[in-house]
Amino acid sequence: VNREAFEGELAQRGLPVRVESRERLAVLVPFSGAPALTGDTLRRDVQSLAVKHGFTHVAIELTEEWCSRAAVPRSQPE
Amino acid sequence: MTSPHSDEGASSRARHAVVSEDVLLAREARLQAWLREARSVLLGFSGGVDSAYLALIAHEALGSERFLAVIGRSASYPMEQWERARQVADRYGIPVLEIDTDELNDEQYAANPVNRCYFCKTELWGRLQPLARAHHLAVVVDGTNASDLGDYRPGARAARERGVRSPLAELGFEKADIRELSRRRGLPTWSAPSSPCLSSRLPYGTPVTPARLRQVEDAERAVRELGIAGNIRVRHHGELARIEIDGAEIGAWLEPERAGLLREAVVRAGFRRVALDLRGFRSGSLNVLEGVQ
Repeated sequence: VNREAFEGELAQRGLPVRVESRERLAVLVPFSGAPALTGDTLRRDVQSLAVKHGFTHVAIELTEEWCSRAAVPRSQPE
Repeated sequence: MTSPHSDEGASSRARHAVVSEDVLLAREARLQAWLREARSVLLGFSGGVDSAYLALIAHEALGSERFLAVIGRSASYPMEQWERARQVADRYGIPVLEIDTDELNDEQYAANPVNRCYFCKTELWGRLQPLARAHHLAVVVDGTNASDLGDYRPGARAARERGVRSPLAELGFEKADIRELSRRRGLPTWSAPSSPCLSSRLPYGTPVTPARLRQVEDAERAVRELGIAGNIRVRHHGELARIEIDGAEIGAWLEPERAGLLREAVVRAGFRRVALDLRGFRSGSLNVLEGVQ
């Protein structure tokens, strides 16, 4: 897996997260300001990127801070 | 018995459309004939979709004198599943015996190897075969169906070694057939999600302990109590719980307020960190993660 490249591509797409690699599971630990991944398209894009970088599973950590602050981007499909 | 003691492969998928009514009913008639030919049967009964249907048909075909459903209980058997099994048995008057199984005290099982299910099933069938003899029941059966046969199922080897028969699989019943026939008969299990044993939430190599199993069960119950329906799995990655729910539910539960509720529910069950899988539920998820075919 290529954790750093995955993290970099997510940042380029407006997803500031730290990627924690647990073998082939990627856990996205959101930085403050990371958007809520409520949109199906965005989640699919993240999954595709994860596969591209060698991960079979990708999950986002529900941190206390993120749950209280995450913004729901208006552009995300409902 | 397909679940909860069975391996969690892709068994729950419906691989084909339900066949016509005539074909289904003919298949059910063949099952009844198979059971009558067996003369008397002991069923490993989990309360899942397959074994509940088989219990109903076997009881109809053989009556209470020549049929016994046995529930094997242990820390890896979800309480919710036990309640469902009892509900089915009570509603249809199915004779049931409960025994405690002891797979967690088998070091080979507790070490959680890839073939963990083999050791569980060896314990289960090793207990049920003598029980069948003691009750003068000729054949021990499980609820394995034809859709299960392509999955990675080390537990099936233990069944073969013990001479356990699988009439649903032998007669070509697919999962979708069993659900449809169960629906027609009003069995409450017809639409129940699959419910494999709790050990299937632990990655291979993570020792199976009663405490970990309880943590998973508590977390899944808490998630269900939030109102999430369908398939729910809490995968145990040490201090981190990775939640899998059905894909259609994920977006809503990533809304910050609801995500917070989800987090709190799972933290209360004893996990320090909580993550939501972005793809959602997939049967055999940990097999995929660890490259087990």
